[in-house]
Amino acid sequence: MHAKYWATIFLATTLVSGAVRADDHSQDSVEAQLKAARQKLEEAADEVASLSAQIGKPLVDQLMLMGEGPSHAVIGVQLESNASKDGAHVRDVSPGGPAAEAGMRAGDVIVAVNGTDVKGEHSPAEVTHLVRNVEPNSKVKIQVVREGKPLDFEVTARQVKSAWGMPGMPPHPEMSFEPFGAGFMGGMHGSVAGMELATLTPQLGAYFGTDKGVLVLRAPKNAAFNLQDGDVILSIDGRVPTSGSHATRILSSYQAGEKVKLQVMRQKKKINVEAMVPDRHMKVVEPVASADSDDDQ
Amino acid sequence: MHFDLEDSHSVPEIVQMLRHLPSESAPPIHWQEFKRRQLLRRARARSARRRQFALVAAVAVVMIGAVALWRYLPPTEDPMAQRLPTAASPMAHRPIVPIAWDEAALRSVASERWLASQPAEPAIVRVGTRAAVTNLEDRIAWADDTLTSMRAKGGEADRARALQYERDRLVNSLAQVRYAETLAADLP
Repeated sequence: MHAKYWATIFLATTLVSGAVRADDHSQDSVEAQLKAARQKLEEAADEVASLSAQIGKPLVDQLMLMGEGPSHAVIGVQLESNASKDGAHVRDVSPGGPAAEAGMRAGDVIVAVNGTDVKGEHSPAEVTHLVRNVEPNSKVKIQVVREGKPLDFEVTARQVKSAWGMPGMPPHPEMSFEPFGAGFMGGMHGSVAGMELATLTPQLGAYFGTDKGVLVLRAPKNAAFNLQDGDVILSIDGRVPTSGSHATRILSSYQAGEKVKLQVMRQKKKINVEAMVPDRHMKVVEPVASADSDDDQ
Repeated sequence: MHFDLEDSHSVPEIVQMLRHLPSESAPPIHWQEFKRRQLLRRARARSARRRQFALVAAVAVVMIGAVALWRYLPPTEDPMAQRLPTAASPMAHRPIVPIAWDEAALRSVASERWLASQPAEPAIVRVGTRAAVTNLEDRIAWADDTLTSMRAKGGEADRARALQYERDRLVNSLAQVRYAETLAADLP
């Protein structure tokens, strides 16, 4: 009787464990498929962005020849062309642009830029002139009137020429332009594309021992920049990233083959990491890591 | 008067009966009259056919003439075009753009509305997809600033419209990429 009893238990256990293993195997397969699907989704998104940019290439080429190339800083605001004595009327604000990040909206009326009044018939031209003369990444103080009330915004003028993959290249009629060539963005495939970042909150900052930087949640698999999970990127060639997007934008401004110096907080110690920006097919230069004292910065 | 013509009557009897018919009945038309009426009927039919032929021929001539006039006379203003704004009309500031441009503009309005409802970035930023997003955002920002500059300068209306179209398409692409980014971020 006991033998039958134990035999039954053994058989049931074997069957259940087999079913669980099969289920685990099935789950693994689904997870692998999900991972592959996510990768495809991201690749498709990347392709949409790349192809969208290529479509407008001939027009941008023409505009570059006319001196409207992306060599100056922008704030991402489209103004009404109609003359207005009360200021420059904002027709549209670029989604994700500097003005939108600062809080400006369509319908605002710009009345002053960096303390200079822009009320008058040529206010849109004046705003353009004033903004184009600021240094990239500098703060532009813009005063607007919204629903009759004055508001002040501090907009960080953005350098966007890297979006065309040709930093520092002046427009020249005889030059064969390749404004949509693969920049660092193209090199992110398979190298640092899978890196995951999170903007540091005060609580996270206290935990990791810093009040600035961007947290690396998942470091690149192929050890680009020698980053590790849990590192906090404090600066990229001296520029302090304020968000994951900002860090991405800074990294995107490098061309393949350029060297990048990162300052990283690792286990509450600052270290410097140097690497060469990878080409599309990553070729990592052995990173140079050196420990710094905490009072370096 | 009624006669019952049966087989029992002989031919002479029938003749007699016919001769006794009353004289009020109208005499039947004679052969000459029959021929006259027949000729008249044929003449009327011929006349009607001629009129039909004439009418068809007249319509054909008028149509050929109209086509010839349309082909060889200088073109006049298209009535539809007259309803669209011209340089001198009060609506001159409203550009005449292809339908695809209008569609892109309408879609970009919806895309911008959706983008405005999204957070600036997902909680976890994947660098690969974010790079595509920031690239599009930078291009749109450049397009907007350049449009302001071109319109302020004036005289580049066609290029400005083309750039506006490209800008709208970039906004639509940005919405698509951000949607993909959101979906990927929501995956476990």
